Amino acid sequence: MRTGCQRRAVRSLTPVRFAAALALAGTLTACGPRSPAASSVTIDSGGDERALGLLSDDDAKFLVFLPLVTRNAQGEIEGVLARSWEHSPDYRSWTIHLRSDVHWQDGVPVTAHDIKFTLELLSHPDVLWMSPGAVSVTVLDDTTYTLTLHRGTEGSPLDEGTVYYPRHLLERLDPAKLAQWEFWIHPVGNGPYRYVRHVVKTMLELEANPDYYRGRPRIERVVLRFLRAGVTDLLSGDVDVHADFNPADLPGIAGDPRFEVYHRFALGWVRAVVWNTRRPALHDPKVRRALTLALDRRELDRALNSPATTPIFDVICSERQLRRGEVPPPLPHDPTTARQLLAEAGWAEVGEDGIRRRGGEALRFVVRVSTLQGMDRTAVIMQAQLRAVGVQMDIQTLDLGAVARRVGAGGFDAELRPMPIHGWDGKAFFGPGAYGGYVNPRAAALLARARAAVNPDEVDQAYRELAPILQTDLPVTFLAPMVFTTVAHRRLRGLSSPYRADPVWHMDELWLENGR
Amino acid sequence: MARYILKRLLQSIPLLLGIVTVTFFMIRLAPGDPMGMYLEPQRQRQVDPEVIELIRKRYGLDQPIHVQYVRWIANVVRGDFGESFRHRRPVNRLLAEAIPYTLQLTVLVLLFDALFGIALGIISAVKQYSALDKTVTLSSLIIYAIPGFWLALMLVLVFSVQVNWFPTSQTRSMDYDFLSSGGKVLDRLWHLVLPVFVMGVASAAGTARYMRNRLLEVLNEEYVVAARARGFPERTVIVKHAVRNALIPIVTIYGLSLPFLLGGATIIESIFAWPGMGRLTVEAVGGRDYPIIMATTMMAATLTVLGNLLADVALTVVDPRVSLEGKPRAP
Repeated sequence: MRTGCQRRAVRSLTPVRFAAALALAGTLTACGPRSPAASSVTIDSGGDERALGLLSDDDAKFLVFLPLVTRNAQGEIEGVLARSWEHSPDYRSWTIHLRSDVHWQDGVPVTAHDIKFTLELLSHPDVLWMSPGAVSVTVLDDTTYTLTLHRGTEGSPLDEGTVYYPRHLLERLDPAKLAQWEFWIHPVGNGPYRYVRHVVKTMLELEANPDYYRGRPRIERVVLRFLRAGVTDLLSGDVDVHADFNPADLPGIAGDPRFEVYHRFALGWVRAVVWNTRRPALHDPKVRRALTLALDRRELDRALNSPATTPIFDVICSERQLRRGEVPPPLPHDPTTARQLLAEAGWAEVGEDGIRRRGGEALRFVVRVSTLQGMDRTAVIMQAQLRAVGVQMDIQTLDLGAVARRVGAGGFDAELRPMPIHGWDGKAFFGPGAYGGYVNPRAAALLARARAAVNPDEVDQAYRELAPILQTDLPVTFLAPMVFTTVAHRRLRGLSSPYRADPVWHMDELWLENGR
Repeated sequence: MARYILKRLLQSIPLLLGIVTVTFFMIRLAPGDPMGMYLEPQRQRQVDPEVIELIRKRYGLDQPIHVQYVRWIANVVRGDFGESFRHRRPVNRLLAEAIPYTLQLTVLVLLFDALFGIALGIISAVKQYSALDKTVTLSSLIIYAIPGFWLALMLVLVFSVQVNWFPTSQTRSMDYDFLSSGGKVLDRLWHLVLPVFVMGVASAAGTARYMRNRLLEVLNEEYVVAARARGFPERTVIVKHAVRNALIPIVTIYGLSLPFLLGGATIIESIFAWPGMGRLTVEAVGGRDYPIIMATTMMAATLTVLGNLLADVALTVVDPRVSLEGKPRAP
């Protein structure tokens, strides 16, 4: 038994210890991060001190290195390093004229030799960022070069996703050890910001480049905070911008007046359901049409916290067609017609469980889905919408690679996954042995034509001819393009959806409210 | 003793080989494809299938699985765990970067556990059925039942987001470089408070429960009664006779903690953006980064074997009755 004296001692110690803990916390808090410097933005980065590297998935490299072109606020291509360009009638041969007023941060001018060096580096067998032999480059003079495309559009000078590197600093390094190059940690770029310092596994600080060809950016400092922790970084004020925000977390910040939400569409990617038309239940185009009509794609977007402006369409198309609104209107959400079509296809009888039947067989199938980008949540909502017209869709969740592998082997009813919006392999999709079982030589030929073409007009024409086939037969139901979400503090101004939603691409155009 | 240790080490070779062999084939048979990362829309660009095939070839993934296995074993024997598919950097280097961060975390967690768990267990047992004992018992039960990730998130919400006492994540402050040496130490400690507390409190709760029960058993042993009967002060009886004996199984538990020391804590490291082994392993598993998965598995298996050996050896130190040679020691 404890004595009264011991009890008192314990009682008196407890508040003392608690106070000591508070004091320690207070002392350490005082040692914590200083308030952000004036005109400074902190961005959540998924990477580490190699975030600016060639192999990094982080778009932060656009803060330090420039692409040839970018998209303006209307989504149209405009030159960055490239001042102007001409191309042959078949779009395979290009002559690019570079700006002469862009310099690397060590003062060396950016020349066509840097472009040639970078493209050769990207396609080097030890780097494999793009296909070896995809392009060939001939330098005409320091600011002019010709480029020939050998494999479709790969390596196109109009690719705004490729940035270029300084030949004079990298040409003697071993490409086989590219990921280990110290250059990626202490880069010398040509973009709006330049390297200042980094703290290992913590952050990388950049400052405005006074010699940037468009003039010194208004935001003086950009800090990349590594190892993204998620929404808490935003809520605690540790970061100002989260450029790859999980839309499922949006309700958590919805009522917070500090933040603004922006969306950008990954127009090259779409959430889609591929139907396996070998399955008797899904063989009839009427059934696939009914399933598409039964889906409320706008509701799917809402459930995924995607904006109401997300484009919806039913056909393969180019980004240009999508941007210009040159795609046929999508099938509407029409459950009444869906029920009617299912009845016409023989699925008229409805069992006690509410599922349609034909000859005693229930109309049910399994959709294989990955957890990527809210796909599994999409499937759950689809399941409820299809149930409303008497279709039972069971869900099997796997990772993306597993879905691809199993689906590739043909063992599936339906697959829900992100798919590239164009550039499809015609043979694999609609040729003999097509993985979805839908064989249409005309569609396969049109896809092959579009894939081989470099001329965007030819590509669009092939897709235009393909559109009625796809909209009639519906071997694939497109749901909506992939949407990426940025959450930014309101003091960061100049962002907009959808073409100015990722700050690192356009940081030189942004500014801070009240100059901070 | 040396002979016994050598014998155990030799015995562990086939065991380790078996573990890594099973792991090697299991992860390759599991659904998923390391090249799946090139299918992710976040990459913003479509990678040509031919490029994916070339990358597959570069890493030997186009070879039959048994060929891949033999190559991997041959490289590991030379101390080379290969190159990470995702990072494209040597796995050895990635491990060398991650291990110090994990050690900072886990060593402090074990210290926290030992300090608070054992102390509270002893107090609880000595003051059996007192208000303090009941409080410690109830608290440790509750804490032990709370999922670590939930506790971590709640602490972050309260202490980082609401009152801003501790950082939400990471290992250092942004202005770490500008701090004095003392400031740097404090800064690192400041960042360790929440993750160490979350991991340590659950661990200490378990240790306290275990220590209490074990000590209560020991306190009823005849030799403790005899010590009391000889008139030894209660403090001497508890500290010198009872606690020392009660600690014997605890030593075994700490010996088995060796894999945890370097293996890290996957969930907590992910929540606190801690760049240690746990986070590296989670990312590797998600991305099917086979070289990292194999390296971390092999390391965990080796440490488990060594931890067992260490526990056995430590047992002979703390308990003179135990002999590793199979012969009872002379009293």
